[in-house]
Amino acid sequence: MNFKSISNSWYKRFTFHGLSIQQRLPLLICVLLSAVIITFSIISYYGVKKSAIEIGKNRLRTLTDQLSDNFGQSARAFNKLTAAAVRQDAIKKCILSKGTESQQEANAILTKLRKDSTWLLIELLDSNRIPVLHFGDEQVATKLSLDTIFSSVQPGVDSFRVGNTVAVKDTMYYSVLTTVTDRSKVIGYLVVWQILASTPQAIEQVSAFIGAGSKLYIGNQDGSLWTNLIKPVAAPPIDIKQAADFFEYTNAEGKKVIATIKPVLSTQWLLLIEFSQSSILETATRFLRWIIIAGSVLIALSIFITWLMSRNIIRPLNQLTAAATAIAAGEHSMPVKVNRMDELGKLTQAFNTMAGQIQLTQQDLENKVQQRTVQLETANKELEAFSYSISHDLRSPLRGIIGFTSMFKEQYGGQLDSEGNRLIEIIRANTLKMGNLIDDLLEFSRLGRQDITKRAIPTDQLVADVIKDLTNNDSAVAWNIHPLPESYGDKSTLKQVWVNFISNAIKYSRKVATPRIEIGSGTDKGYTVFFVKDNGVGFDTKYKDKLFKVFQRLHSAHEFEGSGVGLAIVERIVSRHGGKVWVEAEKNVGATFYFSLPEQ
Amino acid sequence: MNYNLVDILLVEDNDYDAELTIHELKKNNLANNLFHVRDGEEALDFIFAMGKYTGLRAIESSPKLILLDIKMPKIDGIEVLEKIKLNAQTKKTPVVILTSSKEDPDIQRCYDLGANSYIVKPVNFESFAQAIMNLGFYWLLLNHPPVK
Repeated sequence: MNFKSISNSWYKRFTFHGLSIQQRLPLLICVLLSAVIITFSIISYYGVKKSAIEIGKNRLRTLTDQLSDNFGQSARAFNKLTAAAVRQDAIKKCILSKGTESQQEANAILTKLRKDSTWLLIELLDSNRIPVLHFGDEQVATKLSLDTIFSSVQPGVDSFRVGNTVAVKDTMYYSVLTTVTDRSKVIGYLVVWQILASTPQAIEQVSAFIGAGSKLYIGNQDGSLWTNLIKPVAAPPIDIKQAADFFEYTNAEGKKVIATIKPVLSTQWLLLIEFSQSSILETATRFLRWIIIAGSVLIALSIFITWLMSRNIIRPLNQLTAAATAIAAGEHSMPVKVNRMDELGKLTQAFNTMAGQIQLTQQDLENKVQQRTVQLETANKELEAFSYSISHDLRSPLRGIIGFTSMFKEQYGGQLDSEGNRLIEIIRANTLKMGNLIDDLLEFSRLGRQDITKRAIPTDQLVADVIKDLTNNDSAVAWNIHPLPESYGDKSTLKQVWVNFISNAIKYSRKVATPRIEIGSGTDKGYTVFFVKDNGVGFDTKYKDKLFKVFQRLHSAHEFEGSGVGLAIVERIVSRHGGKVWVEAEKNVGATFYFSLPEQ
Repeated sequence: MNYNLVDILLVEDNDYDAELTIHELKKNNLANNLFHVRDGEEALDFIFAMGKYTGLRAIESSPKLILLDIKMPKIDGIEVLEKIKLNAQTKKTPVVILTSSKEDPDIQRCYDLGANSYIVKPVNFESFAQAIMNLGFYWLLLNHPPVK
């Protein structure tokens, strides 16, 4: 396969050669529109996605700030309570006296301070962090090393701080430390241990506040513990020391999330809010879905409209094609209806004009043909009349000459000498010859006009009859007749063809010692070819074209009698049958005459 | 001449043809009661005893044979034939058409009108003589006309 054919087939495939315009147009529109819609969708989807993420991040940031503030405020509110307690002298006295003084008062203050059972343990420590007084669940208190408080909190004068959250089994606690200050000196500490436990309702409220798909976590700033406010959870896969605004990761549930963290003021806590990306991108996804639906509807609609339009275009084209085909087939076509003013309308009008013109021309032509036919018929009739008049008027005087010559010879022949009788014989012979000539000529002209009716003819029989008529089964000729196929034509005229050929063959071979005549046939491209071959005098082939013309003879009447019309008659008969006549010959060797007839 | 005894009526405008015909018939003794007219009008006058033949003959005593040339001045052979064959008194009279050519477009019409036979006058005198002789013998001697 060469390059050209490859590129050709490629070109054909690319231009959808097999498709009709009606199919191609919607396809083209579909492809173009799809390209536009897809490009537009991708660009706008990414735009929407970007802004959705931006909006989500802003919201995340705002929420985190707000919640962090809220937690900070709660802490400060807590601080107010504890600060008021530690300012009381009984507390100070109790610490300074190492629990020996004002113990009852301090105890009362602390009992008052304890709001509910989540206040698990309240302790008073002196400046060396030695417990002076405690109140609450001592069992827990033994488990909670004081170090855990001070490892993360560095308390100063009049300071307050919420410490790390710790977990003991499933329970989480956090400490709240308030310094007890006397005369600008830290004299001790008030430590409150509280259970970190949120009710499901509270969590639900928070969830409602921060939105579905979002989660709130609290963790220690040193990363030691993270909780969802109900129980400890695994630490998020982020580096909290990294100074990033936002973190993107896959959370424990396997969801992609965006998160941000913020320290809570006055605490050791970090607040983390996770937004699931899918909820942030929900708008964008919805937007994409809508674009896909709207785009598909748009494409379907435009394909339908294009299909309608192209049908609208194709229909008149099909009508034009049908009309043109009808005209090409020679039928008269009704004008194609036009009810549009566009290019197709103009084309249709032009076509109608052309069809009309063709019809006019055809009509004109038909009229002319009719006129010519009438003229020809007239001419034919005139010719017939002329033939008749020749036949009648020329024959009549000839009949007179010959008749009276004969009568003269009958009555006065005895009185004439032999020369006189010879002369009279010459007159008679010439007149006879002229009569035959006229008869042959009339025959020739009659064959040009006579209708031929074709039917199947048994050629074998016909040839046998002709030979019998010509020879009366009595001739010196050695016949060699091959089986002959049926021929299709007019029997009486075809018989004349055989009579001419066979009588010629007999005539021109009679001076040969052993005359031989061969008759046979063959086929050639839908034609049956017959031949008559003799071994007679033949002729020089350079004259063979003259042979079939009227009055053309290759032998003198002295040698062989004849008018020179016979082969012209044959030629006329065969050509009127749609066949051909030709001859092959060699002087003194013989001649073969051929004629062809269409098979059926 | 007794016109009622005419055996053969020869209608022929060409005197030479007529002479040859008569000569041949005579040679065979068939022309004893032959009458020759030169055109269609005279033929009709004779056959129907009109014009100059009024009262000279009876229509009923038809000739045994009418030899009729087609191409003639005034009234042609076709018309004569038509009148003979349309008349109840003459329609049984045998009419043989003589024509110069087998090309004659009127031959078919002659048969349609009831011509009994037609012969082409050959150029060849011998053939012509033979034809005339046969004709005369057949119609005058062999053929049995209907009983009058």
